[in-house]
Amino acid sequence: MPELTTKLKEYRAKLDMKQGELAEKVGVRRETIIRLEKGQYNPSLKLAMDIAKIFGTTVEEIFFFEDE
Amino acid sequence: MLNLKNKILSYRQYYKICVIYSIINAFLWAFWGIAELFIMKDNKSLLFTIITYALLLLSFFIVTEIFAVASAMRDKEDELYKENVAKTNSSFLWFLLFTGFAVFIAVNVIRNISDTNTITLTFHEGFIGSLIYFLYAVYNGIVLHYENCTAEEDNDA
Repeated sequence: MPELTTKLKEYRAKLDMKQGELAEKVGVRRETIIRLEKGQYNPSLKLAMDIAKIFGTTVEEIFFFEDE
Repeated sequence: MLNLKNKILSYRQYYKICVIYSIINAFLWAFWGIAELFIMKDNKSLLFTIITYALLLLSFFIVTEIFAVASAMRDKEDELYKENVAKTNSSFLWFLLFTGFAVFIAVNVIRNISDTNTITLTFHEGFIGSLIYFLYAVYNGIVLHYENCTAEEDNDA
């Protein structure tokens, strides 16, 4: 089964944004962002869309399946 | 003076508070049960009863207030937290089932090996109160365990 992967860290680095800042903007705690970046947690659709909105891109650009 | 309104508790801090105060209260209620049933069995006075009831009522209100204040000081919207609570509910149900089964087996084994073949169970409100607080401590302990598993372990690199 393909695994959900993320480019969240790269997008965050582009904007020079800390994990805590992103967490505050999308209304979650820092641990959630850490787990997301490590691929240990699958976000809800709302959280994924909120994150995509922060980076001005689409959900598919940030979260995608490994084999794609 | 400590400004509680602006202080934000982390999830782990909140569950540590719940576990600690639940255990303290569980011991308090258990102690009362033991005192009433065994220590003060024959010379229980009205004064003793009034004092113990007043103390237990006071402890109930204080602990409930601590939980309410601590609960108001934390964020409940985080997704990972909701996932941890869902895992805890499942684990806690397993704990209850397993404990119930273990108690059932233990009671049956004791009944079969004892001479009288009967067991007398005394249900005292002190032990029931203690059991409720103990189960609450176990529930919060399980959430705390999952929270520790998802603890901050990375930097902003």
